[in-house]
Amino acid sequence: MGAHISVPMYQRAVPQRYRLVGLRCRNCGRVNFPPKGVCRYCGVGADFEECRLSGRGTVHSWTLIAGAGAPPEFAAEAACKGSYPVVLVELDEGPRIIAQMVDPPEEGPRIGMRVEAVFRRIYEEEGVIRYGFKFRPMT
Amino acid sequence: MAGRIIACATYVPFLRLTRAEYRKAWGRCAADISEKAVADFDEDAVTMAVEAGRQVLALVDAAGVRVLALASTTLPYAEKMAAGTVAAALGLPEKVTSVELGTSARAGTEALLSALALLGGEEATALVLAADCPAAGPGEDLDHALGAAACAFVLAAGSGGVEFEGAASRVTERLGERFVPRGAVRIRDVGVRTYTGEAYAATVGAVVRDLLERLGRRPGDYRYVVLPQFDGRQTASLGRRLGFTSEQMEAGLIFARVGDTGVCASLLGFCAVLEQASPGDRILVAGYGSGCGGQALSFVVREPVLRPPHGLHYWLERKRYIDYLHYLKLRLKEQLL
Amino acid sequence: MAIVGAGQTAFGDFPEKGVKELFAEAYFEMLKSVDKGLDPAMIEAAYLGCLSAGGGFQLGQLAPLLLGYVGLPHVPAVRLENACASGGFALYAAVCAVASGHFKVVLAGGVEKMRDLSGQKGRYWLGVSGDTEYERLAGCTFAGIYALMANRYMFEYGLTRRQLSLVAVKNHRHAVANPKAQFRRAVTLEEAMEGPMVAHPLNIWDCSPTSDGAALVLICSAELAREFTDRPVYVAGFGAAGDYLALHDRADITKLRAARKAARAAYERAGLGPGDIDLAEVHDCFTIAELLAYEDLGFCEEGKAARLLEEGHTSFGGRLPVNVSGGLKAKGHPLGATGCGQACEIFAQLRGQAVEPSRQVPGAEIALSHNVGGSGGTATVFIYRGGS
Ligand SMILES: [Zn+2]
Repeated sequence: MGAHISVPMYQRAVPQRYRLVGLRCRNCGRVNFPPKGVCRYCGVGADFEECRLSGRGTVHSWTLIAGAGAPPEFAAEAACKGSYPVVLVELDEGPRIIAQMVDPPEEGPRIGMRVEAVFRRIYEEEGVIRYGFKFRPMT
Repeated sequence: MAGRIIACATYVPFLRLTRAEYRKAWGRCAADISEKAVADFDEDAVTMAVEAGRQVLALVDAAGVRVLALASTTLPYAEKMAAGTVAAALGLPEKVTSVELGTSARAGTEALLSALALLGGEEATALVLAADCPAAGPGEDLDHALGAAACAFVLAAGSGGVEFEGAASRVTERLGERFVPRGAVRIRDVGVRTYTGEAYAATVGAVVRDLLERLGRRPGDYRYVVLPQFDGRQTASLGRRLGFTSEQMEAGLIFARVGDTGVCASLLGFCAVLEQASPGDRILVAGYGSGCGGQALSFVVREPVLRPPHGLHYWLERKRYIDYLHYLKLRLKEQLL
Repeated sequence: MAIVGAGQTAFGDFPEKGVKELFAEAYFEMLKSVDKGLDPAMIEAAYLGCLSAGGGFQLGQLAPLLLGYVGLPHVPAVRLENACASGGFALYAAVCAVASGHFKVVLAGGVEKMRDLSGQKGRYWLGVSGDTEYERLAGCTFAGIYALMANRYMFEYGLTRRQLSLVAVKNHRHAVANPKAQFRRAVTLEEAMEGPMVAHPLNIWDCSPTSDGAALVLICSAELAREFTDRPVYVAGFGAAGDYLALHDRADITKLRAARKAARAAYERAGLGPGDIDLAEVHDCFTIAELLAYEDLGFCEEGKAARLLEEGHTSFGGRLPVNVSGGLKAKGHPLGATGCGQACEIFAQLRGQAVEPSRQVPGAEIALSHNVGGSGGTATVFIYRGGS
């Protein structure tokens, strides 16, 4: 049983999910990601221009999702891996975002670790592969 | 058909399975590998192509890409454009002329030739992406060699760079050698090694000879030779029979460390060679598709290619070993739940 | 406003009872608790908290279904949903309705039926109350979100694995004497530290369970209170607030701003401060959540929650006992019922009526309840004053 995000809804988010397109507030200049109707930073800006984020950032916090507790969409992945890391990343442009971590070091993620966004399969529903970003330790 | 390669990059997944794991699981390893690269749960030909593509697009302007040639025998959908996914992820212009090739492992060299042809004489660049993660039934000998990797090339019209000199191509009927029936996802063959080995040697041998003849060259004119690698011994033995020395072959022999990478079976070695070639070096690269056909391409290095910070060596050294059980779960991931 | 009646089912695993039966059980217990009796015809409105309506079978118009089941089909009733804070918001809506003067006698309650669901369907419902697109569908879970907070808190303040487990040990110890609790069994520190991992650093003992249950309170205006009982419990302060739903949008993930703002409003309205609280029921959906609550509610300074716990101040017998019911952790957490279940506990405690005398907080006069939606997208805080 999945948390149904319809294909058209996912389609609308393709620029964010595939290449981290954010919105730069024309009032305060800060980058909102994912998009907002009103700027999350100045609280008044509602006029934005698109900008592509670098995908580089720093781990603000992390966890390991154990196999048995994964959301239904990720149950097979968790069963395969035993557990998988999830990180809250502070992107270099400012916004934070949660995503899975791929290719984690043997000792696991840690706060302050530098990461970069990679393009991966996130989950699959209705036979449609949902691609998006995850993070990988930078070297 | 003039043209040149101006940049290249590679991607090899993080996970590795060793020969020793096969020995533990099956008592033997049917492939001549020391280890092979394994795509992770969330990787496929499209994500690997994007990995390689992002690296070269950091070297050239994505907006200038007019041609996209995508090669893979393992695109995630049997029908649905994969080039669009890749183009969207890479931020390529929608007006790009795209082609997708992939009914055999020869799609790698086919993509290089197609991109050169589609580019014509245009002042623009073409992006060639080759990515593959072939699989066979886990109990089959065929599966032991099957690895995963991706390569990306940026091509441009005109001379300079790594200049294209010419190509030879052949196609013929050969039944029962490495095939995936429609609707299936796993490679099969009739299991007669001498038969399939002969098809490979005869076809690749013929196109290499065709190319040498067409360009009026001898084997010794090439600094580097990269033959398609579905098996280590088979490739080395064909090279010797064609008159190439191990010095010419060595730099492009990657098989033992990644396995059979399908459409990258010669392109990955080609990238390894491009990373070290010097002006004046000639490079011969051949492709092979089962069932069957061959292609051979000749290049001369005028100036070195642009390379991303991480070359093939980096990707080969960046790895984590998994055990056979983990590998089996990855191979059976559709049936896990 | 005053609470003059309260009823709740035990929280736990009740295969023989559905949403309607659970609701009815709480309703009849509430009726019995009204010292001078209640004519049900006096009930003017009902506010009910519920997330999943028993696995989604009645997401629309659940409230009239339940009211009709107990013979009150004509009462205007509404289901409110703010995930785990649904009950708190039902209570908040009821209190506001009475405070406005529009209604004089209303019901606030909640119900949840979670134990009918397979593990997979249960995880579905637990995973639709964060920012579904950017949390759950990034592979994170509800426990995972709190784990991100816990790891960051550990990094910033040096909180240890052992200190997290002490929350579970305390709340399980409290639940032993509570007949309404799901887990009436103590847990040792060793056990609590070594449970199977759910989302690092949180193990199974750091997580509240899924539960069945219902809870209801009867709210009336202060002037009417003595018509129902000589021992009303007054709602002295109440506050509710929100925050960005997604953890990624919050500047500081070791604080719940919604809870802080709700607490400030409640304290201000009551004219009281954290030092006045004799007893608190806080939202310990995960062990880390109870520690964050100490700081958000002003029980201690930032970064000092573990010390407050370790020194025993929040244990039964301490100066500010927290979750003497067992909390969400051990009493149970039937999402929609939780917020009003806290009010039921406080109603009993402030009237000196905790069923097992061994768990009665002696002399308690001022109490607080704190209910949080998901990871802190919403929160309510109530301050109660005993009326005797
Ligand atoms: Zn702004």
